[in-house]
Amino acid sequence: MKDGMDRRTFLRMSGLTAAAAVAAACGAPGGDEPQAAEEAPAAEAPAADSGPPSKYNESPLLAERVAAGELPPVDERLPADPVVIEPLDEIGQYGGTTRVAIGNPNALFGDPQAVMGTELILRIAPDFSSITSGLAESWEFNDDATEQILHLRQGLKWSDGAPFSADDFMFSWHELWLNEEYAPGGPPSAWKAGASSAADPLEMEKIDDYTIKLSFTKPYPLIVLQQTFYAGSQGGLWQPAHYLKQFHPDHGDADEIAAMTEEAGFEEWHQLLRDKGRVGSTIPAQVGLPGMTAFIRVDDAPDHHTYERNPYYWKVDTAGNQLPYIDNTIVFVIDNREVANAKLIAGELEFSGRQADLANMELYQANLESADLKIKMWKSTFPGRTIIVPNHTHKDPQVRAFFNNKDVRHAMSVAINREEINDVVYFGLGEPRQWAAWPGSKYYQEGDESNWAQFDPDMAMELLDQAGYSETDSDGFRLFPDGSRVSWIIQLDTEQADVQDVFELVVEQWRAVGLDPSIRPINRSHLNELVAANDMGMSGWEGDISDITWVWCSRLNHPGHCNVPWGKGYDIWLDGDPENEIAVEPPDEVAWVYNRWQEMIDAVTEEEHVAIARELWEWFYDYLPGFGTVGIPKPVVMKKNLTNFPDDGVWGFSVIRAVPVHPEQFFYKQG
Amino acid sequence: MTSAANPRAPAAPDATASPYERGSLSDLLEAEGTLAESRTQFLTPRQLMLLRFRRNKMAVFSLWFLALLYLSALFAPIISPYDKTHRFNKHLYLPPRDIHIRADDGSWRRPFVYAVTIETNRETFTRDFVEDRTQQYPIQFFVKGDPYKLWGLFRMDWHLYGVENAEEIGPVFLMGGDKFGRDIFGRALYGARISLTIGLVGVSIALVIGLVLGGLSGLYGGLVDNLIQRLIEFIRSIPTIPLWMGLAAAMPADWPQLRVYFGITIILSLLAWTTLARVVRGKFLSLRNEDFVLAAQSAGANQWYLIWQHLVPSFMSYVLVDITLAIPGMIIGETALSFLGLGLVSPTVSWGVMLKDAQQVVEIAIHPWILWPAMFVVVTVLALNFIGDGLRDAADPYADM
Amino acid sequence: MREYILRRVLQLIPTLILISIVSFTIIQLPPGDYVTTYVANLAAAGEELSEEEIAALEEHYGLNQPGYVQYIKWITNFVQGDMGLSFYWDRPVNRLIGERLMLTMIMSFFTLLFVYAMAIPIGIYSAVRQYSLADYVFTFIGFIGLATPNFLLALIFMYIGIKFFGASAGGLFSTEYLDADWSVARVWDMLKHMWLPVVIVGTAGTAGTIRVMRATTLDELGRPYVETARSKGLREGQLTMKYPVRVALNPILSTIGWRLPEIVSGTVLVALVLNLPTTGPLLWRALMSQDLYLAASMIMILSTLTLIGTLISDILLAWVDPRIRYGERGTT
Repeated sequence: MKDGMDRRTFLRMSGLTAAAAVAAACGAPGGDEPQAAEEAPAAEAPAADSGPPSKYNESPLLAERVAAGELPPVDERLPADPVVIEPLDEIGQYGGTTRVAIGNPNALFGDPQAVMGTELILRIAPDFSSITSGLAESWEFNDDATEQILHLRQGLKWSDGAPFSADDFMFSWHELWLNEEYAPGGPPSAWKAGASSAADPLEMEKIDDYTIKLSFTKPYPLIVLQQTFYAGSQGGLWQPAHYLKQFHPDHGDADEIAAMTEEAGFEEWHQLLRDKGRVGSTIPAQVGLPGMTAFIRVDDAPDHHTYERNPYYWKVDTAGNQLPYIDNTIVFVIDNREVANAKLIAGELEFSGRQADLANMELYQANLESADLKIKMWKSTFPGRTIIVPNHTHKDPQVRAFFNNKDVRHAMSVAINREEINDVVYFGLGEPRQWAAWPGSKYYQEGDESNWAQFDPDMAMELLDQAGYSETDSDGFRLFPDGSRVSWIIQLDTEQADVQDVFELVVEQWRAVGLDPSIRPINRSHLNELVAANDMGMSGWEGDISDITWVWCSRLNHPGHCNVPWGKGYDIWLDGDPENEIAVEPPDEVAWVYNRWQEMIDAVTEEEHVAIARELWEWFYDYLPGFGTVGIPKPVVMKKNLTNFPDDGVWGFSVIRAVPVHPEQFFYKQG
Repeated sequence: MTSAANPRAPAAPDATASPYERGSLSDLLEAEGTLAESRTQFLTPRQLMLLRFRRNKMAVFSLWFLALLYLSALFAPIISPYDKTHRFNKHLYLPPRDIHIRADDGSWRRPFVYAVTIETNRETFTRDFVEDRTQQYPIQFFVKGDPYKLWGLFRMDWHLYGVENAEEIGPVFLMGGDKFGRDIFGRALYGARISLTIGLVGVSIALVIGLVLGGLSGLYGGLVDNLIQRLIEFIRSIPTIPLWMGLAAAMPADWPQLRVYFGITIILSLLAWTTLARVVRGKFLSLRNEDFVLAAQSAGANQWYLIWQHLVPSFMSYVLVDITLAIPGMIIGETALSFLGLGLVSPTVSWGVMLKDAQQVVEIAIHPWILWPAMFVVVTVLALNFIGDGLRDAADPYADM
Repeated sequence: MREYILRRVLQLIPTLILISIVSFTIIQLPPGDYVTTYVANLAAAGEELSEEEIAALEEHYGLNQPGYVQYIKWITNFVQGDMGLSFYWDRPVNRLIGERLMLTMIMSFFTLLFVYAMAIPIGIYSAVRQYSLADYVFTFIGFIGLATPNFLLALIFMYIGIKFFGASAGGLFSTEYLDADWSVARVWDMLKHMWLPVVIVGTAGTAGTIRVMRATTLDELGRPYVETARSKGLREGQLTMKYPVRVALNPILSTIGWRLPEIVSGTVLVALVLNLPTTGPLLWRALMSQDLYLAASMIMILSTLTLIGTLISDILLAWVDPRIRYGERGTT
């Protein structure tokens, strides 16, 4: 409301993500989270007066460069009205280097983003209760949510000192996303109404240097979620126009572009531009590319990327110190996860979040002192909560009929001994949990996680008998109608170790009730190919992504979403391609779900949105397309003196995409 | 040089240049046979070879060791106290059991173990291993336990050793237990069945291909030879890992494990046959012009008779050496395939599958006994290498390298 | 001799063509292509792509064209020294390989040095003192490297290095030298990191060389001219060094050609475990993500080097021993 929205709009917005219970559920400390307070220390901003007693402090690293004449003074670099971040625990000290590891050089998700932060159009509050300002200071919708006006912050500068303005949005949208050579598939679905690929892309209009109007062909209130979470794999809605124009044929010199393209080994201008404009989330992933983030890339070697603080970063702490506190970040590209673990216990990483897991707790504990580490136990919506996904459109008609039988699915779920999985795979540290809405999210109701989550092999046997699979062979395994054993193949992604462990147990437990599946671990892209061809039998994945606020990739009430969907054939049919050879006509209720899902996205009011979502969840708990297993805690490992990192939180997409923990205020406490 | 240090010294004075230079086994055996006629005139070449093999102590020892290992694999269900899939949920990651023969009061007992429990510490999220020294449980022999079907034929349920009430007081894991609370020693024996036979089966396949193609190449020469040589050159020039990946990917995703096992064996032998083919070809070429072959030819001997009766026996010993040295490559290859996620997977038990679990810093640091299967691999490969070297020395001391 | 070389070089051509085809198809054997991998990874990060976007990606990478068109395009450029674009890294393959080549070659050079420094003395010694305790002990040490799966050895050594020697985990440089310019200090830092991979990769290679060395020396020791020399009263030590060793070094020197591909590829598995910035992990990552041009180009380069290496070895051998020209060659 401080953003000056009218009350109704705010309700619509914040309601979508409001999850006040999260704070309680996660035990987050009540009042002292870092708040992206918009009010700068307002009155005292004599920017013109650049006399020696500077209003703001800066890192000694930058002060040197100012003294050497390489940079203008800090007061000139900061906007007149910088964003003030209240540090979580205390005002920090400048300096230090953070080292983290990633597996895929293109994915800055996870740890790099967790320690460097990201800058999005809008931000989510640390307790997930509301959406606040980001690069845009405020926003408003028209009554039917077909138009959104974004008011950008004024006076922000790119890391090279150039002003940040509506032109950066206009360039990105009109000259990149709408350019058929640069984006032959058109803009990403995120920027189409209803996030549906079939819809028309939004229209963007510049009202003035700091105001943009986005219009959609149908209501798209949830675009604020895209603006809080989605940066896209190739940059979001804004890119540094002043820098990238030199590579664009409409602006740059054709001969120079041709020469640069040739020299870089590319064939087309758009390959060069894509390369020059590469970002990981919103952090520049290319040397020389200006960014708005706290850190920018300064060096690029095969096995590591080096980042340095952004001298023009536009946030300060409550004492007027320009953020970030930390000077440098090094991201190691490490193909083998074990090397990252080894580096961590050798004291060569400052932080490990995404790759840290329960299985390694004893290793961390044994090396806490020697590597100077501490562990914070967060909750997790993300890794380790293996979900089990049968393919309801299996190519073998007998297996398909089997998975399609609701009694069978209920039986399979209650035949799973979740306590045993918890004890064996997670040392008893987790808790049994059905695949369900995340406690604390606005979609959650008491008891959601216990539907069909009890362990009751007798009931499973009875249900299977009822479903018509009572005949058994001499080894006690149940038989399909044609007399062959009830058996199917489970294809699992080789990269997820605990998923394989969980399945090893589940298969054993299913054998006890007369089912005989077998496991075949395969490479992730191979699995994806099987899914695309509807050749998957059954699979599993770490985490069900039924995250606090993240609704885009939700495989539960949508048959075709995510890496291992439960109804690929249905999805193809419902996407309007019933002639496709792998399309399968869905039962009425699945078709209903498919359409209801889109209605949930398009819902204009919060109440309607949550009501539909709840309806879908209720359906899900009964239909039970797939099964959840165990919810587990999530260790986050860091150097002992890393300060201002929250003690408690929920590790999941909401966190690693939106990064509400404000990494710019982390620091290393000296002495 | 003393004759002990140089076992072939006695042969040297009488040897003429030709057998040495040709490096042909039969000539050589002939030469040795004549020279030591007084002592060894009744020894066949094979006996001679055996005699020389036995001089290499390491090789003999290795041979016995390997025989024992193969036997253990054969009787794995009896020797291992628990079934390979038997999980002791209360004793995950149980360290190797200490077997005591002396109680705390200093008295001597028959071998026994103390009861152990593992408790999860919810503060540190680690697991503590607690030994109860008041309870002693003797190791028992020939105890009833998990039922099994020996060689798929005989239903049995007794095991070589075991301990009472294992679920509560902790099973007798000689080499410790894994993440699922399974017996590493027993699983390593079960795993030996796969890992040891993959070498044998793979080498057999490689041998057949190698003999046929190498033989054809050496026998006919010319275009056939040229084509086969190019093929070998071609296969050998492709880097191993892409070749593995390509071939492994060609195996359908719904294959059962047994077929995957054969698929992997074939992948491994596809690389191994080229070496054998080259050896066979080389021998064919060199033997083609030997006196005894020419003599047989001029005497009108049938070509196939000639090959079977004279050529094959004369180079079989070389081939034997190469076979022995090819098996370790396959055993290591199986573990590498598993490491890359291209090989066999659980619930199949092989050394490669077991070692895949050991590929983690946490296992090396906290549960190092998970590495025991590696010792099986190392010792087996070493043994095979020593046997191979012994065979080579015995069969062909003058091998041209 | 000249005719022999010419013949062998000509024979390379059809093999090379075949290899180029196989290099290209082998990557496409696994189901899917780079776009599948890309889409899978995006989905794992919670991002869904529409059918149109996927089709556009296929087109962007040229993967919608028939295989032979892609092949012809790739091989034509390859022959001209342009290896195309890596999808995964979004960068030219030439640049990717180039930036890793130098460190790979330095490492391979040291590894080779290590192998010979270990294997030649052990090989000779165990030949001269055959069946002695020292023979057994040295051979045993030499074989350990061969017998241990070296990806496992790498991990164990890395852990031991960290815990007991304060070594760093993986990589070739300490943090402070990561981006530094080359200097004596940086070279020293690199050497401090390099010994571990060199020893691990090296120990695996020593066994083979020990065996060759031992067998050839044994062979030579038994030859009549050695007996003649011995009967003339030459002392054993002199005798061993004077003739047999010199001759026995031949096969080793002539197999140096075989090392050519190794020098460029390093070893994949150990480099993967130790996270070395060499070409091995690059190849592995390319294969895993089905990064067509990068993987195909690397396989092609390595295969070609193997062929050239073999050729060099063969020519050297033929030069040493004329009989070989007629097709005979010892193998192990």
